[in-house]
Amino acid sequence: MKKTSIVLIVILAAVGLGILWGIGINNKLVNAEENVKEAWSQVENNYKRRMDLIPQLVSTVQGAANFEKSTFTEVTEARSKASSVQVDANDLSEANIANFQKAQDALTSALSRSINVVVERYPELSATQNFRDLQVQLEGTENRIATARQRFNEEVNKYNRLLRVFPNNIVASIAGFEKKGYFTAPEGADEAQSINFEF
Amino acid sequence: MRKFLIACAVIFLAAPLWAQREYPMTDSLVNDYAGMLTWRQRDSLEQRLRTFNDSTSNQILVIITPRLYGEEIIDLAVRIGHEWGVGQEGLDNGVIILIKSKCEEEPYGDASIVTGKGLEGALPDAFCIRIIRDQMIPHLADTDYFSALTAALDVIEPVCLGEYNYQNYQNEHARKRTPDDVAGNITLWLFVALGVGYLIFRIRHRKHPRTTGGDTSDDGDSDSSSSSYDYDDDDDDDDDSSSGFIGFGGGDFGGGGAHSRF
Repeated sequence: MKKTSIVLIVILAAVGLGILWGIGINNKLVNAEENVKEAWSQVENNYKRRMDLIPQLVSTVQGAANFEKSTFTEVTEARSKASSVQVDANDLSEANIANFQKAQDALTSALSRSINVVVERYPELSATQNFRDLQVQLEGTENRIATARQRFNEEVNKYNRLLRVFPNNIVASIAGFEKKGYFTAPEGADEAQSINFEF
Repeated sequence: MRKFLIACAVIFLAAPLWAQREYPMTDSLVNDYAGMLTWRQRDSLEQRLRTFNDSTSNQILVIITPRLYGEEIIDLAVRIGHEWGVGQEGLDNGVIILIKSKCEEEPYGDASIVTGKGLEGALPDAFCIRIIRDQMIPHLADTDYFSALTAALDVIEPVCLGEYNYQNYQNEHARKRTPDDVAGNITLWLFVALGVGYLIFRIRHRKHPRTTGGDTSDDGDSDSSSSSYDYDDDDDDDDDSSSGFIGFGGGDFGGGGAHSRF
């Protein structure tokens, strides 16, 4: 009688400890995941902000004399493609991030090309305060995107490391945590970055 | 899969090491690596910025450097702001004025103003570029860095003051955080009641040699909290207190600001 109750207590204690330990790890992963999601929302915000600036840019340039529609076809196409690629914050897998980045990076380069075209083709327009302000806003948005992406990568790095360490990986596989994707430096990063926003 | 991850890790960890130049934190708000200011000018600026920091908690950091080593000036300013923690934590009210002076290797000047997240509203990018072009570049063109900085500060300081005041800062800091620790401890004690308290207590204690209580306000700990990954770190509140006598407050930057070459 006494022996069995002692055994029972020991087993209960062991199970209790195991559960506690698992909960602890689980909570750490949840925290890390929340940080990643938060960083992701910053990334999304900043990309959204850029999306919102494009119609402004188009309408500003449309007012120019001898405006050619072709100036922005590439941008509008890239924009609609980019806006169709949405990533759920709960599914930041490598494939999803890569898709998202591909669409957004295409928009980045389309945008920089068309800005250069505008500056070349419509010198009077690009000298106006309105257009300059837009340029500043676009550049600021690109800076914010870069910062948000870097922070996101940092958080993902923390999370993925936490995930892969033993014994966390056991808990993670039971609780269904999955590795998350990074932003990579875009191909021809130097080109993309040398958007000529100089005035 | 694994290789990919390792490759990623290598890229993201190693890239900053060789691509970026280290700018170790100083305890000064005026850092002139290019020697464009005289001692007297430097001291007067330092005094001005310290007074501004002490009275308003807004931290304005001035950096003059001759070379960027291929880094974008905004990226560098944001990076320094983030690493040093310019501005107060939670308020993110830091401003960095980073000027790249001309030198033989990189024969162009570049002036930038970068704003902490909390000041992006008061100092939007378009405003920053105005300040740079109207206030700074005319002086910078004459290599009069002191006048450029003074002129910029004459605009920036009052603007910062409009955004919020020291009162807000104090109120903000009066609120103590009530983290998940409390909830965690309750579950712990439930299990203690089940009879395994002793063991758990010991494990917990080994993990946290000193239980994390309310934060003491003296900046005694000189943890380098930026990159070192802490396995036991439950919250992401890093105390970025510097050992210098000003102490950067741990403010953050979201990439706001503008720059212009001269």
